[in-house]
Amino acid sequence: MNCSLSRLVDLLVWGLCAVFLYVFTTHLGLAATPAALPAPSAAADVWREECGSCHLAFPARLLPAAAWQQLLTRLDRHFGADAALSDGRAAIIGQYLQAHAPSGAPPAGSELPRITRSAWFEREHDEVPAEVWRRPAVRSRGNCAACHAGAEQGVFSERQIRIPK
Amino acid sequence: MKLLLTIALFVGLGVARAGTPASLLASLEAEASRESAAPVRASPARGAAFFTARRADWSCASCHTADPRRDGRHAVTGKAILPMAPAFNPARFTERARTDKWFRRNCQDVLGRPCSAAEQADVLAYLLSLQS
Ligand code: HEC
Ligand code: HEC
Ligand code: HEC
Repeated sequence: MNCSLSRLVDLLVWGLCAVFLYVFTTHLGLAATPAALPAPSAAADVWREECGSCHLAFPARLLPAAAWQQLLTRLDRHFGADAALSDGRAAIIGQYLQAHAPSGAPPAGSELPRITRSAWFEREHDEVPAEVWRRPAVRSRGNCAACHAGAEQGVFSERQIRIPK
Repeated sequence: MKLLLTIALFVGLGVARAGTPASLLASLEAEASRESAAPVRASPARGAAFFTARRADWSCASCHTADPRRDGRHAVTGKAILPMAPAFNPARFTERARTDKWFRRNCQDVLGRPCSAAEQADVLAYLLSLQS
């Protein structure tokens, strides 16, 4: 009697521990990554986290699908930075970007495709003086958020532009 | 008794996984000690020197500033980076996979090689020493 009761309690505690461990590991993303592609919103979260840490998470529509593909196969040598990913995260991001990107040829003129080398980019910004790009608050043409207040939300409309001093 | 031990073990494991900067420092020191087969104690002073030492192009301070209590800025892209010192940014060093990823990348970019466990421990000890 005594013995079976203690066994029952033991079982209960082990069960609780298992649940506890499961919640912890899944919560921290330590559990095995699922084979299936996550729902669109989950893929978008991966993209935002991994592609938005060193610079703005550039929205998919700013480059053709083929250009994203080129970028994602060379993340270990990404514009002089090591942006390599593990655990199939590059594939998740690749599918997410391709699904939301236009077709067409990648912009030429650099080893890896740049948004800032696109014909539309040059056209929209041809009135921005060279000196403005060099201002410390801008630093790089790719620093969209320096001038486009809505860049984090993917908004680049003319009404939300403020050029920093 | 056995039950209590079991519970304590799993709670302990859970906390270690959730991760605090202090528990990470302890495990980096343990790793460094294993690597050099002698006890290694992290040094904030060595960490500070390492953090600001300029290699080919960059130092850690190029993006994280020489005062890691403040916001940094990516040296190439200009994007803002939140403070590195845990006292000023509680999210720092709480997720091992994230910390490992950035040590791997940034050491490769700055030094052209991975940082040793001892170097990582020194950097973390330095950042933890910045309290106010
Ligand atoms: C470790 C830092 C880092 C990470 C992570 C990173 N990038 Fe970059 N990226 C850079 C740097 C540095 C540049 C060059 C910026 C410049 O020259 O102004 C750059 C430039 C770019 C450009 C060209 C911008 C332009 O000038 O038109 C694109 C596109 C780009 N990254 C996409 C991505 C994508 C997609 C991801 C996620 C898979 C990613 N990046 C993750 C550092 C990073
Ligand atoms: C130095 C400031 C600056 C930076 C950095 C910058 N832009 Fe602009 N952008 C402008 C200005 C100014 C205009 C408006 C030109 C005009 O009024 O004709 C503009 C226009 C645009 C437009 C057209 C908006 C419309 O409503 O017609 C788009 C799209 C755009 N930018 C995207 C980007 C992207 C993407 C980046 C980063 C890769 C970027 N810009 C970086 C200043 C900047
Ligand atoms: C070119 C810019 C750059 C340089 C140089 C750089 N870092 Fe970073 N570092 C980043 C960015 C971007 C992040 C990710 C954004 C964030 O965490 O806010 C980051 C994050 C980190 C993290 C993650 C901390 C955590 O757990 O949240 C560590 C650790 C780190 N860097 C260490 C270093 C060390 C050590 C050096 C010098 C060897 C260094 N970094 C140099 C840009 C840089």
